[in-house]
Amino acid sequence: MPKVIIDGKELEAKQGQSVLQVALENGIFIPHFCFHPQLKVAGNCRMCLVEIEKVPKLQISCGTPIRDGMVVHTDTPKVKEAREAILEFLLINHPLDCPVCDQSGECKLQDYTFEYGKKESSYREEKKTHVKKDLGEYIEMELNRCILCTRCVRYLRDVAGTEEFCLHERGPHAEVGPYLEKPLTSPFQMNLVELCPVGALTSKPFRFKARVWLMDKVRTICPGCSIGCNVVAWSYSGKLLRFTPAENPDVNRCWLCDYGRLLVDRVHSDDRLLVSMKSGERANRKDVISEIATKVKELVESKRSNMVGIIGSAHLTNEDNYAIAKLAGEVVGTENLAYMAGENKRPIEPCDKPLTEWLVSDDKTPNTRGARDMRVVPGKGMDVKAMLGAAARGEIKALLVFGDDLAASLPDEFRAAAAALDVLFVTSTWINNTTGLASLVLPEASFAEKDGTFTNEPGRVQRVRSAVPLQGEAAPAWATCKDIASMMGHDWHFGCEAEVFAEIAQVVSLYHGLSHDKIPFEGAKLGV
Amino acid sequence: MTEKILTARFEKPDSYRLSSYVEDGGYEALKKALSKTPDEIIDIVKAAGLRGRGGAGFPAGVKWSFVPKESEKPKYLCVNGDEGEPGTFKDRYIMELDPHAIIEGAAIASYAFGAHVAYIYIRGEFKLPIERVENALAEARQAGFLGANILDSGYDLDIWVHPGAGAYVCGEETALIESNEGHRGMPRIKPPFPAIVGLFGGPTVVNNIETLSYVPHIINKGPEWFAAMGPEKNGGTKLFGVSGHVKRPGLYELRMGTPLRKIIYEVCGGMRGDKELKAVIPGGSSTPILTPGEIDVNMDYDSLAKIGTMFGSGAIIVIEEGTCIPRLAARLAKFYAHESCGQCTPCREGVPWIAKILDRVENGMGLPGDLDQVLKICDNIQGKTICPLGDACAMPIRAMIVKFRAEFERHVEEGGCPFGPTPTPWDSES
Ligand SMILES: Cc1cc2nc3c(=O)[nH]c(=O)nc-3n(C[C@H](O)[C@H](O)[C@H](O)COP(=O)(O)O)c2cc1C
Ligand code: SF4
Repeated sequence: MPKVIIDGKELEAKQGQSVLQVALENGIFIPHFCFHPQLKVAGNCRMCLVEIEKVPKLQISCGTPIRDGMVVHTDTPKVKEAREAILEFLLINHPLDCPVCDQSGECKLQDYTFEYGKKESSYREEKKTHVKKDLGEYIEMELNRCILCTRCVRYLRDVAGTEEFCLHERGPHAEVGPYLEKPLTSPFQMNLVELCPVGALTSKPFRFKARVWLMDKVRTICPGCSIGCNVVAWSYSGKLLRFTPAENPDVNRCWLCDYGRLLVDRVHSDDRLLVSMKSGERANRKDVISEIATKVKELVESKRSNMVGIIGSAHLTNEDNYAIAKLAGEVVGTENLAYMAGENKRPIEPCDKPLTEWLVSDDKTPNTRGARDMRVVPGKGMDVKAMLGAAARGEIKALLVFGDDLAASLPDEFRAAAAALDVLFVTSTWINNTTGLASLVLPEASFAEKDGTFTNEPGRVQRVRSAVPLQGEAAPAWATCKDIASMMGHDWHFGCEAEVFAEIAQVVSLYHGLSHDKIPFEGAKLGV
Repeated sequence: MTEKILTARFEKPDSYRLSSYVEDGGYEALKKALSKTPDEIIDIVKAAGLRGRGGAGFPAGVKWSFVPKESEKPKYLCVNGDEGEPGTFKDRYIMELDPHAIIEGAAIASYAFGAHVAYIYIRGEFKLPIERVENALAEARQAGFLGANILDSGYDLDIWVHPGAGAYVCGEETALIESNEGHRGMPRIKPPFPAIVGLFGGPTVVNNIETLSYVPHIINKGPEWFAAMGPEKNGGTKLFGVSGHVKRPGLYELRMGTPLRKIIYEVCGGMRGDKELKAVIPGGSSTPILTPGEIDVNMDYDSLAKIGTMFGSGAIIVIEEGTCIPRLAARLAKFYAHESCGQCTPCREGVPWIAKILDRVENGMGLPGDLDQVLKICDNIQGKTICPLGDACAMPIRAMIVKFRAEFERHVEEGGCPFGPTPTPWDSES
């Protein structure tokens, strides 16, 4: 293994690594703009220049492969002077509009200037300006702030797989932008927001909503599909305002799709269901629980347990689904337990192909795998469609639907079932046709309000963390199940998601040994 | 004194045609070369001390030897006919008047490092050179000097012309490669060097037109003959394009190491109107300027390097008394600002900044501190860019300010140009 000395520290390195990679891996920070671990090296910003012994000129650390015995200095007067110069160059034409720039707080130019820059500019000339370009609905482009690191160009070409940007013009007129004056089309375009180290590319949906340093953030999982991308959920004053990617080399690397990002809007949307309802009227949660419990109890006590159908959901957490299965099995004793499983036929393991080849799943639910692991599956009973059929024929009298919009996926079957059922109990995050047809409705906590776990399609158990407080009267399904069970005389000992999971770890053999605390940031890959 | 190697055939009628070339012994060198091993060719060219005529003066044989023998990807030769350096006008003459010499040289070079495809990248504005070289290629192909199994040697080679699309930076070897691939002409970062990863990812040699044109002669007459013609490590002759305020500007083929004074006062007949000499740019616009006190220098790579300037492309620009150096500097900076590819920070931001300041100075709006500021910017550019274009601006501008500082200061102090509207050699077109 080649050894290098950086700032006096002897470090082991791998052949082919750059000086910058070795430094960063070992906690030695060298400022850089254009370098990004997932992009091809461009070497154009010149911010990461370092001094290498026996080499006369400063070298870019991102583009210089290590050699055994190399001695590197990242903090000499020569290096510092070069950094100051680069920052001065980048600022001479910069509008310095930081107070109204949405990148504030996340701007490398601002941070490096604070850390390494001069306090005054020698520039006395007029600043160059660029004409604004419209990139469509999601990305705001402010070219005057651009430092031409070309991360965006390289990302769209090499990672997103839609080569939509190029460099136009040259010299002082050079600018990045779409080949033709057309809006961006990539379904992964919003990754540009984090890639852009300055405020040249910002998020249209998010800009000006909050100052980022005042926001709360938690690491959680995107509910958008069976991949389970790791995200940071950012909120301000209890409102979820954006998702940014959290790194997970085994799941999403450092990317998200736009579809997933835009789901944050669903948390505080006008169609959120925030109150309990009975026959279309606002009701007391307790009354709703008591009514469904009474009905179910009646059927159970008259040995007609199988006339109760229970439907879990791939949108709900493992904790929710576990409680749903427990309700069906231990409390009701019905065999009719099922959920709508999503299906995906594409490869979703991270690879170096364009994101369109692996960061898309056909299964738009986050927990198809987890719900199956929690055994929300028909034993000898019926699947969802069969259950709706049975309900329509009067063979099922009470149906409990947790967190799934069945009226959307099986409209005719659901309508027929709803008309025939004695009681249709539904929990839902949003007002929809399913809640419209239900006699008893409870608001389900949204993905942003829940704690728990999702298990992604390849079997990685990942922690979902609540980013905002429960909205309105919303509650997670596991708590609703516990309340119903309690009304039916069953006292479940768990009082929080971690405790539900502790029981899962005991009961479900694949999950043995796991606990909320033990699941690392990258998730826990299940055995099989 | 005027040794003719490359220009020997320039005045012949139809010098650019195959028949004329063959009549003068053309393609004999290729025949000879193909009977030797590639390594023998490389050794001969190394021994001849042939240094690259494109500007950097890198020994050609050494460059060829860097190409790996075994390569999964095809190897390429790119012949640099971009000729963009202001003041330079030599390659176009070879392309127009003796294109077969280039083709023969390129063929020998390709054979020496194992390329089977070569491109001649010609500046897009050069209509006649493009036409002449393309015709010559067709003739050579027809005659079996190119194509499959050349002269029954078992060696295959094709050569194509790639017309440029108009940018000075495309003369820089890695930008040329990008442009030759059909991309925007932007220099690549090194490593990897073109000899390892170049055109279409294959090992690539980039050589100047003039460099390669010497190769057939070296094969024919031997490396000793060539080496003996110039000082140590500076073999052969050189095409000097002399422009500016001399009596007889033009293209001259002279031995390497010919004294600059001799070129100005003897070869070119002295200063126009017998005015005083004020300055000389010795090797194209990128090379630091010389004062009259510095012209007793031999025109070769090492002698010029010793006095802090460069041999460059051999484009000598002679400047007479009464020429405004700040104006020259301002015009030059404007050129480099226009030609910066815009890729790397110091060049993209620094060069136009220099141009703006110098423009102010020349136009009487200079401020105290401006000159030191320009020098500072030069320091902040030089050695910190992707390609040498940044240096190519910083070095000559620095030299002008350092050597003619009083003149710049007068502009600032007097709030205007003391020379009035004197045209510099480049002003005629603007
Ligand atoms: C900005 C810039 C422009 C250049 N323009 C030319 C050119 O027009 N022609 C040329 O032969 N070399 C040019 N060069 C030099 C080439 O990069 C390269 O060194 C040369 O073509 C190598 O050939 P040689 O070794 O035969 O000299 C230029 C270099 C720079 C940095
Ligand atoms: S030095 Fe100038 S021309 Fe060369 S790569 Fe940088 S910006 Fe482009």
